[in-house]
Amino acid sequence: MMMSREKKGRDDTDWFRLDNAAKIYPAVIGGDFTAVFRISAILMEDIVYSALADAITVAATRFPYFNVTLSNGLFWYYLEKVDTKPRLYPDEPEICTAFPIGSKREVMYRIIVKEKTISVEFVHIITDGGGALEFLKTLLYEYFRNLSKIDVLPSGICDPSVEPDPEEYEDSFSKYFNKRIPATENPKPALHLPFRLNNRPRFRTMVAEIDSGEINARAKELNVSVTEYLVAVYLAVLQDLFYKLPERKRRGVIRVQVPVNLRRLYGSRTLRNFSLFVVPELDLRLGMFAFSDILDTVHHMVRLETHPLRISRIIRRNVGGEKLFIIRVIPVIIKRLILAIFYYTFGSGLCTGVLTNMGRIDIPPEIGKYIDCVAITPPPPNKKVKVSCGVASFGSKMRITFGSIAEEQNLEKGFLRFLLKEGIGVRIL
Amino acid sequence: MGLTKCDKCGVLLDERFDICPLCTPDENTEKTSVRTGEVLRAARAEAAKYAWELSGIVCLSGVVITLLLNLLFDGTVSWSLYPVTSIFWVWISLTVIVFIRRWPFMMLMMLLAGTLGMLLLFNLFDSRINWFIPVAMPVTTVLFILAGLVVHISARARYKGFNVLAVSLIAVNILCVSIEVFADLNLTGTVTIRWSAVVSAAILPIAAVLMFLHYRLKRGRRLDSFFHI
Repeated sequence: MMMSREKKGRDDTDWFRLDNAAKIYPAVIGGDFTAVFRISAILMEDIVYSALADAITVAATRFPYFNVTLSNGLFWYYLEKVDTKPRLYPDEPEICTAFPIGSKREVMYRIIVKEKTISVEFVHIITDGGGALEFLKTLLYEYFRNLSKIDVLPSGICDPSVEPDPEEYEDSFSKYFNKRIPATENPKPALHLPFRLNNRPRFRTMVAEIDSGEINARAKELNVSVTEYLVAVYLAVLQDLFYKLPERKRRGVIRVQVPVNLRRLYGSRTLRNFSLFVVPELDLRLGMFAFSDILDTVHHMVRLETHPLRISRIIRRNVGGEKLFIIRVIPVIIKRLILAIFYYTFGSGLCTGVLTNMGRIDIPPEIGKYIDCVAITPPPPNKKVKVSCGVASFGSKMRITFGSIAEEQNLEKGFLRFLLKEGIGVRIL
Repeated sequence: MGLTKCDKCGVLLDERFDICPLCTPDENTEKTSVRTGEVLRAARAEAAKYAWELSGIVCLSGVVITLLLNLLFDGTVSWSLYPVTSIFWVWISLTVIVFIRRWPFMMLMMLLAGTLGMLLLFNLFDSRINWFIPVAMPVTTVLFILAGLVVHISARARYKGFNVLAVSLIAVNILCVSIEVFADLNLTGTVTIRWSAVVSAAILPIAAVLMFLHYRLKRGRRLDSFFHI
């Protein structure tokens, strides 16, 4: 039975605090902004229902800290363990829909199935892409084991037969918080795409598939990583879009938020949130940047901002606020409003777009041979950002999924056209 | 293993299943594929009901305390009639909002009826001056009609920005004019527009500018962006 470290000795308590990244979400979730993301594994064959249903039961038991619901406290929300297991749903046109807050009938993640695709949807309150991927890998292992396609647990999969390690559900942000270092400064607000919003339901996706070998080769040719290359393309397309606007509307900065998995950096085993953002930017007041300049800028900014000491400053800024006594004693009703304002001013207002690259998905070959590809669908963006992008590679395939609440598709089309111009083949699904 | 494929979701089903459990609700338990929106609405409705019950306890406490204090200090029920009536009005309004909010027009009518009832009772508690029919009833009715119109127009607007502010200001202006009209009719029997003209002169140009900004210049379409929150 999992228990909060702070509540050791109180056997009647099964709850724990939200980690630092999760704390903001209860204040800002609402409407189309659900904070729900999806990771999908497209298999080689159709899914067998009974094997999957049994696998879900085992996988859910292995990760008890995901079987939680969000409950109201006096000073903030907290996660409360429930006995409910995640539900299995057929896929529907509307994806990444919200989870109920405080409901004991549904935990905050679900499994979705359609033909050959198994998807898991998690709300960012309980984990990020890294944690969700570990769950998916265990689920897939159990599924194929139920089909007698695998019998030995491969390395790199969480063993379903063992109790979870407490390190899997620690709040690594608090663990690696250092109050003696200075916090990082807040950048200026960024420009936002002037697109109209869709009619409800707003969120829709555009999925493209490219050969990961081609894009790796192109990035290597330019002496940058794949993430840096994709971010540079994203910024180049944003720059083109903004240069089509009147001059008074393009005085400012365009900035792309790029999540960075901190687990390897700090050697953390947590499966809760442990990512931060780096935010490469272009200042349009300086003029039009050539693509080579954008690549250089992104390359150096990403290297600089992912330096461990710089990351520590960001952790210091993010976690420092929640440690202040005066902040902790403010009642939840007031704190929620303050956090929502803080988020829209210092959070979403600071970036023009979001690009999540999970990189090469590491699935052991014993399971990987049954999988065609893997994709990530980012959470529905808020009304300022409007369009976000999720990228994942498996084998020779890279899936790029754009999530948008905007009518116009200029960003998505511009991005894919840019790749085509670079000589990278694109297949729209 | 003989597997059949569901036509709708595409999963393979073994012989145990006559119908796909994903696409067909289970008779014995809750629907297996309840749309999350329904669960979300159910969770919110449950929370609203608890809040309503709690408000009932708080209101009842207020009524009892007020009556007791009045009886204790004055030996009779006198001034407490006003706060007790107000508390009842608050609780009835909350009840209407919690249970009837899915039917906005009926909710508005019932809130209007409740408010008029409260004002009528206030008038009856001290009937030396009859102000309910000549002033309170028409002004309150105008207030609720205008509030309903503002909410309706805002809901229908594609972009809720400066246009909502402008419509609200126009509604306030109409309310001020109606207050002066009914007050004048009650006091003097004739209508002379004075102070409400000053209000109009101040408010209407602002509303016009806001409308111009919103519809002509396409600015201020989102108040949160404009005010940087």
